[in-house]
Amino acid sequence: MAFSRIKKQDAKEEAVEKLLCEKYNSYYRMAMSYVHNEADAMDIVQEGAYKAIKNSGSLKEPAFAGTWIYRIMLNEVYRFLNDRKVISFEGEVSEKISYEDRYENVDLKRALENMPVKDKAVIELKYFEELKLDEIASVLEENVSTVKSRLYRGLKKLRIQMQEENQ
Amino acid sequence: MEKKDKEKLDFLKKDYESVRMNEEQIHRIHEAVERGKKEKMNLKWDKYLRAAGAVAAAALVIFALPNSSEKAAYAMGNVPVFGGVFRAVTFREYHYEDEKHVADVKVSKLETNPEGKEVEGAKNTVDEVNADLEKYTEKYIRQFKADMKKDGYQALQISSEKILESERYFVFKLTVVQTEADSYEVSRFYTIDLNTGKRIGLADLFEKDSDYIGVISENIKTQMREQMKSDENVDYWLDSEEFTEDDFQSITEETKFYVNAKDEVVICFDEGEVAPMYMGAVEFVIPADVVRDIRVKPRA
Repeated sequence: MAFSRIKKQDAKEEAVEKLLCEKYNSYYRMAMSYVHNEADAMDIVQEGAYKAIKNSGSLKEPAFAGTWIYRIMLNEVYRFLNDRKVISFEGEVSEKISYEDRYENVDLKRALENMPVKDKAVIELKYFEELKLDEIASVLEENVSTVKSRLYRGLKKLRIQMQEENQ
Repeated sequence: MEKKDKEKLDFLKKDYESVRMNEEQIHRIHEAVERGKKEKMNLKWDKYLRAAGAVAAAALVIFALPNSSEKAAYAMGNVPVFGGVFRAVTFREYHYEDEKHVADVKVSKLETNPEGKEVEGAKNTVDEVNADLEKYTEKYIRQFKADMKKDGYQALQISSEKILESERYFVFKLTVVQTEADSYEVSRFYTIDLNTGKRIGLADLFEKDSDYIGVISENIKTQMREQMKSDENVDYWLDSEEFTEDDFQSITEETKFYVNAKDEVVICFDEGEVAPMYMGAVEFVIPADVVRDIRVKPRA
């Protein structure tokens, strides 16, 4: 009977699916930090999730799924930002600032907000998603020293003292 | 890091994490995942079909050759017929093995049995079936040899077997299993009517003008639903909430089939045709009473 031949699901696909279903908020936050619009952020994450699963066969190792998905999501963000540049800039950028935020916090948020795309990604991945520098390098497809200089530049804009990083 | 700096990062992190998906949005992500899985499966199947040279068409050869009168004493199908009309002889063997590639091919062709009953038309059918067997076997061997030059593991198994030789029918099956990252199985069936010596199609088993397609399709859907209900590991493309356009609708005249030893019609689908690939090739035995009124009656 055919049922005796049920095959084991592809391990890579499984790894990707598991992450997508556990860490959707991480991808969504990252997208939101660039596009500030729920509908656009959802489009980005949905498209990224679809592509990640569809192409999970091309992943070399299930263990690389984590950084690989961030990379796919960031690529969707770049694509979105590029398209938006060509078309007109529609809609207000919603900036939700609560009354509790003090002025210096507003400045801090603005400083992160206005960082170049990749510098911001380094800060977010390092401090909010708690990735290691070599993992961030793999997400951005850059070498570790480039990532380090992005981190340094980013922290400087936030007026935060760079510490010697032990990965 | 200074305390003040730590506070800054904590503030930014808290702000960052205040963004969350709502239930409806989470649901949409799950949908995107399912859509991706489905598309991945389709891509694999397409790729395989291309590699295999699109074998999608009918793959059953049913040989039904007239064996009639003196054998009529035998209960239909249950007793092997001695001195039958056909016999199988090995025509192609190919074995290869190295670290990454394995091929195991042993395929028989048919010939009319000189000691058996002579049936008009049998010789032509044998030629026709053999040409088909040869064509497919050689094609997959060629494919295997070409793929050996590429990187990665490859395996090919081709075998043939007589599934049935009854009073009315002779059924022969060719099975091809190709393994790369995943394995795919494709089979061809040949059913020959032993009364006419001709290879028959699904329609030939049923009365003209009968709605055999509708009757069988409905029975298959019933069987699919029952199986899915009783076993959560079983999944068919039927009654889907999404992608309903891919759901199983109906068999066609070309759908693969054979007749089993109980004279029941068995409908066959290759991997990925009506169910996710992990279900493998699936078969549905159509109970005799479902089609009793429309089956062509055996000759007296």
